[in-house]
Amino acid sequence: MSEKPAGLDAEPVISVRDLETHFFTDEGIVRAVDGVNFDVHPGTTMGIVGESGCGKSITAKSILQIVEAPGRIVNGEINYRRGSGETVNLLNYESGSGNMRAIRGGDISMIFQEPMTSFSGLHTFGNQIDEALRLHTNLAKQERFDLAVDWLARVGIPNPVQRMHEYPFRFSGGQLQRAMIAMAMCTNPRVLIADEPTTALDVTTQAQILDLLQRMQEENDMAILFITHDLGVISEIADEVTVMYLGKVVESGPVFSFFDEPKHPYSRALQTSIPSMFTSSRERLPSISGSIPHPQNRPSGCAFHPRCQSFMEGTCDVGEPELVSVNEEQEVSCFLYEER
Amino acid sequence: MAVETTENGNGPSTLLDVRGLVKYFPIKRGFFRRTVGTVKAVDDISFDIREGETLSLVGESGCGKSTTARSIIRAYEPTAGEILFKTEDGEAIDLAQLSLVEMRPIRRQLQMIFQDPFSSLNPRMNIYEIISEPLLVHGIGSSSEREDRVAELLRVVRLRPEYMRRYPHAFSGGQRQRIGIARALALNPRLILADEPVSGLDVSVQAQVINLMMDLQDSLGLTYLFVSHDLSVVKQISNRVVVMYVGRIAEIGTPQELFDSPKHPYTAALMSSVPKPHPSQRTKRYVLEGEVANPANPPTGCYFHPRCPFATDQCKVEVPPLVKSKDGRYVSCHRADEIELTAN
Ligand SMILES: Nc1ncnc2c1ncn2[C@@H]1O[C@H](COP(=O)(O)OP(=O)(O)OP(=O)(O)O)[C@@H](O)[C@H]1O
Ligand SMILES: Nc1ncnc2c1ncn2[C@@H]1O[C@H](COP(=O)(O)OP(=O)(O)OP(=O)(O)O)[C@@H](O)[C@H]1O
Ligand code: SF4
Ligand SMILES: [Mg+2]
Ligand SMILES: [Mg+2]
Repeated sequence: MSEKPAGLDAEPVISVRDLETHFFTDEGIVRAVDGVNFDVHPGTTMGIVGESGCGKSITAKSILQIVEAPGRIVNGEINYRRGSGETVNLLNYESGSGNMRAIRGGDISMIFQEPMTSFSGLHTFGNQIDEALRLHTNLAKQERFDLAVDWLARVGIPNPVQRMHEYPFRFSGGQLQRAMIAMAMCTNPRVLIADEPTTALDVTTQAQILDLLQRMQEENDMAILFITHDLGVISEIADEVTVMYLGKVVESGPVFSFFDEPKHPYSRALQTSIPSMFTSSRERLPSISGSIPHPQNRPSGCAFHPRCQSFMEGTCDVGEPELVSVNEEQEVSCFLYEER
Repeated sequence: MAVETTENGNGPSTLLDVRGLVKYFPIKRGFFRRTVGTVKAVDDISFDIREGETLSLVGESGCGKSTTARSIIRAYEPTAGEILFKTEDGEAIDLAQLSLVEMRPIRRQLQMIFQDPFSSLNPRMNIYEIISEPLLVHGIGSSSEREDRVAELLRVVRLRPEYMRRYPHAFSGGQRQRIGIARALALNPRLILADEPVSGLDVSVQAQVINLMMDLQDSLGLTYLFVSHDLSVVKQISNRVVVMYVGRIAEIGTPQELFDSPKHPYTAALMSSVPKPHPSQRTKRYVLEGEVANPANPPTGCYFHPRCPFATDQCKVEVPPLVKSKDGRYVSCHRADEIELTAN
């Protein structure tokens, strides 16, 4: 029943290790990303799931070194395996270096949470996609134009030639999202980072975009890092899942194990508290008590302990659990699974 | 053009009967603000809400869900149509015909809950002031009675009455939404219009608010008009669902009916687009082509025809009326009886 994509056995194309990205604000240090580890394999989709503020976007931006001040990557490695097989730690490159610029938008592309922020209102869409192609390919002007038009057509934008001369604000939300995908894909990236690419869209448009991303992945064996807070979307497209809570990974593993046997109490609670199309009408679902703490008031010990059904006093509020393997596939950070 | 949605619109079980509701917005341009067009936000819709039920409005962004709710409470002036509301004495009055002064005593019985718990509460008022404001406006109770009532309401929404003197910023999103609910309950309303009440909340706190709303409905006998774009939440909370497309109704049915056996091609496409909750159910998606129509310039005939795989020449010219089918469901599709649809 669960066919495992071949790519999962291949060497990871991205391997994030002990990543820490902090914000040095006047009120204190916000540990937005606080020791994150995961791998992304070629031709497969890693879903990063978590609620607002848990550090998903900052993790993604850290990979490309585009975290805005006062944020700074303070620790970790972003190991990227090139097509040649050579592996480099991207954090050894300066953010503004030629090496990093070649990677950003070339080998690794990103689709952003708010489409308008990745376009300039001052230039036509055609100028902006041309800029990306000029930076990352050796194509001549006419070839670049043709390729861009081709991509617009492939992502399902009607009248692509005309759209090249229009400004992004003329596009509808769904079209803008598609145009951004075209711009991210036209350089033929090996890794696509998609940060909530469908959250602002209707389910019908979401289905169109997910379909599009999957078809493109099949065509060029691209790895996708897909960020979302929607477990339904994870169930539709991810091969593997990493669950984050307050800047840390609490669970990771293949998508089937995650849905069949979620291990972390937070993963379990999320899955039972969210209605699905199989929830019957008027059914009460168990709810998670409390709410997500502000990152500056991070609870002691396991950050989930004040809301956890399995809370063990004297353990969970004292030490911090580590991410450990519980079987061949799943990793969890919870004292229920740590030998004490 | 309006279609009867109930045989006995004034019958004992109907709390609200909306008939042929229309709301157009003028599009104004230029220095003289001349009207250059019309947004047909709500374009002749009819449905009823029965006492004690939850009726939901669903559909893509811009299809007119909020405009419908706002027209019912007269935050917008309806362009046409009847909004028959059964008052406490059992008399049906047409809200659309009332002057705003006549509307005031009725407004107590209809309350609204909004999407954004952060901007819908005045940050300079404390919780006591926020919740008691409707009582004050309607001149109800002495100040100590109002305080008792606020304490009671806070307990009802599962917040501690001791928090009464705190300000909204001290509360989380879920707690603020519960404060909004307490305020809406202050005047003992009979109909609550909730516009995306959980959309602004973290997923881990949505269930708290939804469970509270269902519990309050059972204990206080409330009726809900629930607006949401989240079909899973709608399925969980609703007794019946109205599927809207570009200001019109495509179909009305129970959540189970719409999901298991949709009759309108748009309903089928919408339900099929909802992500499946388990990866083993991944199927080939039925992807709806094209984009939602523009309510300022809708297509002719059936508004869905440019995207509909079943469209015929008739669909391009004739508006399909909302008709009751043999099994008591309401569908507006010329071909509802001949096509086979599934949502999966
Ligand atoms: N410029 C900033 N200054 C201070 N803190 C910041 C800044 N940007 C982000 N943060 C903090 O970093 C944390 C992680 O933010 P991030 O944007 O990664 O969250 P997210 O998981 O993507 O959430 P969402 O689902 O809302 O997009 C948050 O707690 C946020 O408050
Ligand atoms: N005050 C207004 N003036 C002009 N047009 C309006 C106004 N309010 C809504 N509209 C238009 O009416 C149509 C219906 O809008 P409405 O807000 O009712 O949609 P909705 O179904 O609630 O959408 P959403 O899911 O995005 O909240 C849209 O085209 C909208 O742009
Ligand atoms: S009336 Fe015609 S176009 Fe409209 S939904 Fe039915 S078949 Fe499709
Ligand atoms: Mg984010
Ligand atoms: Mg709305």
